[in-house]
Amino acid sequence: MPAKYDIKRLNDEFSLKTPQELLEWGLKEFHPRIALAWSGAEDVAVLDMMVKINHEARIFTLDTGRLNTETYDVIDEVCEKYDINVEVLFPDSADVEEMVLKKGVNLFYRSVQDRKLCCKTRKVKPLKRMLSMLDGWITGLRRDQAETRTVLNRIETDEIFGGIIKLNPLAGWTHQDVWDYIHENNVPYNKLHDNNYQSIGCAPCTRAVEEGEGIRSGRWWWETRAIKECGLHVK
Amino acid sequence: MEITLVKKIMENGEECKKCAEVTERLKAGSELDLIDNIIFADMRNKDSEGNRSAEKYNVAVAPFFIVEEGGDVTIYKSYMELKKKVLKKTLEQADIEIEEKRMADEEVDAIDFL
Repeated sequence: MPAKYDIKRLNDEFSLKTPQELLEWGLKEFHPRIALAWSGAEDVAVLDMMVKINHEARIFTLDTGRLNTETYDVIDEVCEKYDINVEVLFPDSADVEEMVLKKGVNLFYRSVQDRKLCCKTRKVKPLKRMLSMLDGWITGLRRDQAETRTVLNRIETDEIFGGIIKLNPLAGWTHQDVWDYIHENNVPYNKLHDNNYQSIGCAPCTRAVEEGEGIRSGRWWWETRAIKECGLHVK
Repeated sequence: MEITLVKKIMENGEECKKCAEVTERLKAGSELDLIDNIIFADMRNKDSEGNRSAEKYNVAVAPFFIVEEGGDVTIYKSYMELKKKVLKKTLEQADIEIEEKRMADEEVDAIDFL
Protein backbone atom coordinates (compact mmCIF):
# COMPACT_ATOMS: atom_id res chain seq x y z
CA MET A 1 0.00 0.00 0.00
CA PRO A 2 2.62 2.67 0.86
CA ALA A 3 4.41 1.93 -2.41
CA LYS A 4 2.48 4.78 -4.01
CA TYR A 5 3.95 7.19 -1.46
CA ASP A 6 7.38 8.68 -1.90
CA ILE A 7 8.21 9.03 1.78
CA LYS A 8 11.32 11.12 1.27
CA ARG A 9 9.51 13.54 -1.00
CA LEU A 10 6.60 13.79 1.46
CA ASN A 11 8.97 14.52 4.35
CA ASP A 12 10.61 17.24 2.26
CA GLU A 13 7.23 18.63 1.28
CA PHE A 14 5.99 18.76 4.89
CA SER A 15 9.27 19.80 6.48
CA LEU A 16 8.14 23.40 7.02
CA LYS A 17 4.49 22.67 7.56
CA THR A 18 2.67 22.53 10.87
CA PRO A 19 1.57 19.34 12.63
CA GLN A 20 -2.01 20.29 11.77
CA GLU A 21 -1.18 20.48 8.05
CA LEU A 22 0.36 17.02 8.20
CA LEU A 23 -2.67 15.67 10.05
CA GLU A 24 -5.01 17.30 7.52
CA TRP A 25 -3.16 15.49 4.75
CA GLY A 26 -3.17 12.19 6.65
CA LEU A 27 -6.85 12.33 7.46
CA LYS A 28 -7.78 13.39 3.94
CA GLU A 29 -5.70 10.61 2.47
CA PHE A 30 -6.51 7.72 4.81
CA HIS A 31 -9.55 8.37 7.03
CA PRO A 32 -11.21 6.15 8.29
CA ARG A 33 -8.30 3.75 7.84
CA ILE A 34 -5.97 5.85 9.95
CA ALA A 35 -6.06 6.38 13.71
CA LEU A 36 -4.15 8.04 16.50
CA ALA A 37 -2.58 5.71 19.07
CA TRP A 38 -3.11 7.86 22.13
CA SER A 39 -1.08 6.89 25.18
CA GLY A 40 -3.17 8.91 27.59
CA ALA A 41 -0.26 11.28 28.10
CA GLU A 42 0.82 14.57 26.52
CA ASP A 43 0.13 13.22 23.03
CA VAL A 44 -3.36 14.44 23.86
CA ALA A 45 -2.18 17.54 21.95
CA VAL A 46 -2.38 15.51 18.73
CA LEU A 47 -5.83 14.31 19.69
CA ASP A 48 -6.98 17.92 20.10
CA MET A 49 -5.58 18.84 16.68
CA MET A 50 -7.18 15.86 14.99
CA VAL A 51 -10.64 16.34 16.45
CA LYS A 52 -10.58 19.98 15.38
CA ILE A 53 -9.71 18.95 11.84
CA ASN A 54 -12.18 16.08 11.62
CA HIS A 55 -14.54 15.35 14.49
CA GLU A 56 -14.87 11.76 13.24
CA ALA A 57 -11.11 11.15 13.30
CA ARG A 58 -10.33 7.81 14.91
CA ILE A 59 -8.48 7.65 18.21
CA PHE A 60 -7.61 4.49 20.06
CA THR A 61 -5.86 3.71 23.29
CA LEU A 62 -4.61 0.51 24.88
CA ASP A 63 -6.13 -0.40 28.22
CA THR A 64 -3.56 -2.83 29.53
CA GLY A 65 -5.54 -3.40 32.72
CA ARG A 66 -2.68 -1.86 34.71
CA LEU A 67 -3.13 1.85 33.98
CA ASN A 68 -3.18 4.61 36.59
CA THR A 69 -6.52 6.00 37.72
CA GLU A 70 -5.46 9.37 36.33
CA THR A 71 -5.13 7.85 32.87
CA TYR A 72 -8.68 6.50 32.97
CA ASP A 73 -9.82 9.91 34.21
CA VAL A 74 -8.29 11.76 31.27
CA ILE A 75 -9.76 9.27 28.78
CA ASP A 76 -13.16 9.98 30.26
CA GLU A 77 -12.56 13.74 30.35
CA VAL A 78 -11.46 13.83 26.71
CA CYS A 79 -14.50 11.84 25.53
CA GLU A 80 -16.78 14.24 27.34
CA LYS A 81 -15.07 17.49 26.31
CA TYR A 82 -14.84 16.66 22.61
CA ASP A 83 -17.96 14.51 22.48
CA ILE A 84 -16.04 11.66 20.87
CA ASN A 85 -15.61 7.96 21.39
CA VAL A 86 -12.07 6.81 22.02
CA GLU A 87 -11.67 3.20 20.90
CA VAL A 88 -10.33 1.41 23.98
CA LEU A 89 -8.51 -1.81 23.12
CA PHE A 90 -8.03 -4.62 25.60
CA PRO A 91 -5.64 -7.57 25.70
CA ASP A 92 -6.99 -11.05 25.13
CA SER A 93 -8.16 -12.22 28.55
CA ALA A 94 -7.02 -15.81 27.95
CA ASP A 95 -3.51 -14.56 27.09
CA VAL A 96 -3.33 -12.49 30.27
CA GLU A 97 -4.67 -15.32 32.42
CA GLU A 98 -2.15 -17.78 31.02
CA MET A 99 0.75 -15.34 31.49
CA VAL A 100 -0.22 -14.45 35.06
CA LEU A 101 -0.77 -18.09 35.98
CA LYS A 102 2.73 -18.97 34.78
CA LYS A 103 4.64 -15.87 35.79
CA GLY A 104 2.66 -14.05 38.47
CA VAL A 105 0.93 -10.67 38.49
CA ASN A 106 4.13 -8.61 38.82
CA LEU A 107 6.29 -10.56 36.37
CA PHE A 108 7.72 -7.40 34.83
CA TYR A 109 10.01 -6.78 37.82
CA ARG A 110 11.66 -10.18 37.47
CA SER A 111 13.53 -9.76 34.21
CA VAL A 112 13.60 -7.73 31.01
CA GLN A 113 12.34 -10.83 29.21
CA ASP A 114 9.29 -11.10 31.47
CA ARG A 115 8.64 -7.37 31.23
CA LYS A 116 8.68 -7.63 27.47
CA LEU A 117 6.34 -10.62 27.62
CA CYS A 118 3.93 -8.50 29.63
CA CYS A 119 4.22 -5.59 27.16
CA LYS A 120 3.69 -8.01 24.29
CA THR A 121 0.60 -9.55 25.84
CA ARG A 122 -1.01 -6.38 27.09
CA LYS A 123 0.05 -3.90 24.38
CA VAL A 124 1.65 -5.35 21.27
CA LYS A 125 -1.00 -7.95 20.51
CA PRO A 126 -4.01 -5.60 20.78
CA LEU A 127 -2.07 -2.95 18.85
CA LYS A 128 -1.25 -5.37 16.05
CA ARG A 129 -4.88 -6.40 15.88
CA MET A 130 -5.87 -2.78 15.40
CA LEU A 131 -3.08 -1.89 12.97
CA SER A 132 -3.92 -4.88 10.79
CA MET A 133 -7.17 -3.08 9.99
CA LEU A 134 -5.55 0.27 9.20
CA ASP A 135 -3.52 1.79 6.38
CA GLY A 136 -1.85 4.28 8.68
CA TRP A 137 -1.39 5.27 12.28
CA ILE A 138 -0.49 8.46 14.08
CA THR A 139 1.66 8.87 17.16
CA GLY A 140 2.79 11.68 19.44
CA LEU A 141 6.43 10.62 19.22
CA ARG A 142 9.03 13.35 19.40
CA ARG A 143 12.75 13.41 18.70
CA ASP A 144 13.49 14.93 22.10
CA GLN A 145 12.00 11.99 24.01
CA ALA A 146 15.12 9.83 23.83
CA GLU A 147 18.61 9.92 22.38
CA THR A 148 17.66 7.13 20.03
CA ARG A 149 14.78 9.07 18.54
CA THR A 150 16.85 11.83 17.04
CA VAL A 151 16.27 10.48 13.55
CA LEU A 152 12.50 10.24 13.85
CA ASN A 153 10.80 11.39 10.66
CA ARG A 154 7.38 12.97 10.47
CA ILE A 155 6.24 10.48 7.86
CA GLU A 156 7.44 6.90 7.82
CA THR A 157 6.46 3.49 6.65
CA ASP A 158 6.26 1.27 9.66
CA GLU A 159 8.25 -1.79 8.72
CA ILE A 160 7.70 -3.39 12.09
CA PHE A 161 3.93 -3.21 11.91
CA GLY A 162 3.04 -4.30 8.42
CA GLY A 163 4.50 -1.50 6.33
CA ILE A 164 1.63 0.89 6.94
CA ILE A 165 2.08 4.66 7.02
CA LYS A 166 3.10 6.17 10.35
CA LEU A 167 2.71 9.87 10.98
CA ASN A 168 4.61 11.58 13.79
CA PRO A 169 3.32 15.14 13.54
CA LEU A 170 5.12 16.28 16.71
CA ALA A 171 8.47 14.79 15.69
CA GLY A 172 10.15 18.19 15.63
CA TRP A 173 8.39 19.66 18.65
CA THR A 174 9.96 19.99 22.07
CA HIS A 175 8.46 19.13 25.42
CA GLN A 176 7.88 22.86 25.92
CA ASP A 177 6.11 23.21 22.54
CA VAL A 178 3.67 20.47 23.52
CA TRP A 179 2.90 21.99 26.89
CA ASP A 180 2.49 25.45 25.43
CA TYR A 181 -0.05 24.00 23.02
CA ILE A 182 -1.89 22.10 25.80
CA HIS A 183 -2.18 25.21 27.98
CA GLU A 184 -3.00 27.62 25.16
CA ASN A 185 -5.76 25.36 23.89
CA ASN A 186 -7.05 24.30 27.29
CA VAL A 187 -6.55 20.65 26.40
CA PRO A 188 -7.41 18.14 29.15
CA TYR A 189 -4.27 16.34 30.29
CA ASN A 190 -3.28 13.47 32.50
CA LYS A 191 -2.93 14.83 36.04
CA LEU A 192 0.07 12.57 36.64
CA HIS A 193 2.02 15.18 34.67
CA ASP A 194 1.42 17.62 37.56
CA ASN A 195 3.27 15.16 39.79
CA ASN A 196 6.41 15.03 37.65
CA TYR A 197 5.41 12.08 35.51
CA GLN A 198 7.07 12.86 32.18
CA SER A 199 6.19 9.67 30.36
CA ILE A 200 3.15 7.63 31.21
CA GLY A 201 2.68 3.92 30.75
CA CYS A 202 1.32 1.25 33.06
CA ALA A 203 1.10 2.10 36.76
CA PRO A 204 3.67 -0.41 38.05
CA CYS A 205 6.14 0.49 35.30
CA THR A 206 5.99 4.29 35.52
CA ARG A 207 7.16 6.66 38.22
CA ALA A 208 7.68 10.37 38.67
CA VAL A 209 11.11 11.70 37.72
CA GLU A 210 13.43 13.98 39.63
CA GLU A 211 14.61 17.31 38.26
CA GLY A 212 17.40 16.73 35.77
CA GLU A 213 16.40 13.16 34.98
CA GLY A 214 15.56 12.31 31.40
CA ILE A 215 12.00 12.23 30.11
CA ARG A 216 12.14 8.46 29.81
CA SER A 217 13.82 7.77 33.12
CA GLY A 218 10.51 7.11 34.85
CA ARG A 219 9.82 4.05 32.73
CA TRP A 220 11.16 0.62 33.78
CA TRP A 221 13.60 2.44 36.03
CA TRP A 222 14.79 -0.81 37.57
CA GLU A 223 16.27 -1.87 34.24
CA THR A 224 19.66 -0.56 33.20
CA ARG A 225 19.79 2.37 30.85
CA ALA A 226 21.48 0.39 28.11
CA ILE A 227 18.76 -2.26 28.10
CA LYS A 228 15.91 0.23 28.26
CA GLU A 229 16.98 2.17 25.23
CA CYS A 230 18.08 -0.78 23.14
CA GLY A 231 16.21 -0.79 19.87
CA LEU A 232 14.00 2.22 20.43
CA HIS A 233 12.97 3.45 17.04
CA VAL A 234 16.51 3.08 15.80
CA LYS A 235 16.79 3.52 12.06
CA MET B 1 16.62 -33.42 23.59
CA GLU B 2 19.95 -34.41 25.04
CA ILE B 3 22.94 -35.30 22.92
CA THR B 4 25.87 -37.20 24.38
CA LEU B 5 29.13 -37.70 22.53
CA VAL B 6 31.07 -40.81 23.51
CA LYS B 7 34.78 -40.60 22.78
CA LYS B 8 37.46 -43.22 23.18
CA ILE B 9 40.63 -42.89 25.22
CA MET B 10 43.25 -45.38 24.12
CA GLU B 11 45.60 -47.46 26.28
CA ASN B 12 48.30 -44.80 25.94
CA GLY B 13 45.95 -42.15 27.37
CA GLU B 14 45.44 -40.34 24.08
CA GLU B 15 42.13 -39.62 22.47
CA CYS B 16 41.47 -41.74 19.38
CA LYS B 17 42.26 -39.99 16.12
CA LYS B 18 38.73 -40.28 14.76
CA CYS B 19 37.25 -38.84 17.99
CA ALA B 20 39.58 -35.83 17.81
CA GLU B 21 38.69 -35.32 14.16
CA VAL B 22 34.93 -35.37 14.87
CA THR B 23 35.41 -32.91 17.72
CA GLU B 24 37.19 -30.55 15.35
CA ARG B 25 34.37 -30.88 12.82
CA LEU B 26 31.80 -30.11 15.51
CA LYS B 27 33.82 -27.04 16.50
CA ALA B 28 34.18 -25.90 12.91
CA GLY B 29 30.44 -26.20 12.33
CA SER B 30 29.62 -24.30 15.55
CA GLU B 31 27.86 -27.48 16.65
CA LEU B 32 29.85 -28.31 19.75
CA ASP B 33 27.48 -26.17 21.85
CA LEU B 34 24.67 -28.49 20.83
CA ILE B 35 26.40 -31.44 22.48
CA ASP B 36 25.11 -31.63 26.04
CA ASN B 37 27.57 -34.18 27.43
CA ILE B 38 30.89 -35.67 26.44
CA ILE B 39 31.80 -38.94 28.10
CA PHE B 40 34.77 -41.24 27.61
CA ALA B 41 35.19 -44.90 26.88
CA ASP B 42 38.56 -45.29 28.53
CA MET B 43 40.37 -48.46 27.47
CA ARG B 44 42.29 -48.37 30.74
CA ASN B 45 39.09 -48.49 32.75
CA LYS B 46 36.46 -51.01 31.69
CA ASP B 47 33.99 -49.39 34.10
CA SER B 48 34.27 -45.90 32.59
CA GLU B 49 30.99 -44.22 31.70
CA GLY B 50 31.67 -44.46 27.97
CA ASN B 51 32.44 -48.15 28.15
CA ARG B 52 29.24 -48.80 30.08
CA SER B 53 27.24 -46.85 27.48
CA ALA B 54 28.92 -48.74 24.61
CA GLU B 55 27.97 -52.00 26.26
CA LYS B 56 24.45 -50.83 27.06
CA TYR B 57 23.75 -49.76 23.50
CA ASN B 58 25.83 -52.50 21.92
CA VAL B 59 28.15 -50.13 20.07
CA ALA B 60 31.62 -51.26 19.08
CA VAL B 61 32.92 -48.11 17.36
CA ALA B 62 33.94 -44.70 18.58
CA PRO B 63 33.04 -41.99 18.53
CA PHE B 64 29.28 -42.35 18.72
CA PHE B 65 26.37 -40.20 19.78
CA ILE B 66 23.48 -40.97 22.12
CA VAL B 67 20.42 -38.82 21.37
CA GLU B 68 17.66 -38.94 23.96
CA GLU B 69 14.34 -37.28 23.26
CA GLY B 70 11.02 -37.84 25.01
CA GLY B 71 12.19 -41.13 26.50
CA ASP B 72 13.44 -42.49 23.16
CA VAL B 73 17.11 -43.15 22.56
CA THR B 74 18.73 -43.17 19.14
CA ILE B 75 22.36 -44.07 18.54
CA TYR B 76 24.29 -42.36 15.75
CA LYS B 77 27.60 -43.94 14.82
CA SER B 78 28.32 -41.39 12.13
CA TYR B 79 28.88 -37.66 12.60
CA MET B 80 27.42 -36.96 9.17
CA GLU B 81 24.26 -38.86 9.99
CA LEU B 82 23.89 -36.96 13.27
CA LYS B 83 24.49 -33.68 11.46
CA LYS B 84 21.89 -34.45 8.80
CA LYS B 85 19.22 -35.86 11.09
CA VAL B 86 19.67 -33.91 14.32
CA LEU B 87 22.13 -31.00 14.37
CA LYS B 88 20.91 -29.30 11.21
CA LYS B 89 17.31 -29.28 12.42
CA THR B 90 18.34 -28.10 15.87
CA LEU B 91 20.40 -25.26 14.42
CA GLU B 92 17.58 -24.25 12.07
CA GLN B 93 15.10 -24.30 14.94
CA ALA B 94 17.48 -22.26 17.08
CA ASP B 95 17.81 -19.71 14.26
CA ILE B 96 14.02 -19.52 13.92
CA GLU B 97 13.63 -19.03 17.67
CA ILE B 98 16.28 -16.31 17.74
CA GLU B 99 14.62 -14.51 14.84
CA GLU B 100 11.17 -14.79 16.42
CA LYS B 101 12.52 -13.40 19.68
CA ARG B 102 14.27 -10.56 17.85
CA MET B 103 11.07 -9.64 16.04
CA ALA B 104 9.01 -9.81 19.24
CA ASP B 105 11.52 -7.59 21.06
CA GLU B 106 11.51 -5.15 18.17
CA GLU B 107 7.73 -4.83 18.38
CA VAL B 108 7.79 -4.25 22.12
CA ASP B 109 10.59 -1.69 21.86
CA ALA B 110 8.85 0.09 19.03
CA ILE B 111 5.81 0.93 21.14
CA ASP B 112 7.53 1.78 24.38
CA PHE B 113 5.82 5.16 24.25
CA LEU B 114 2.37 3.61 24.66
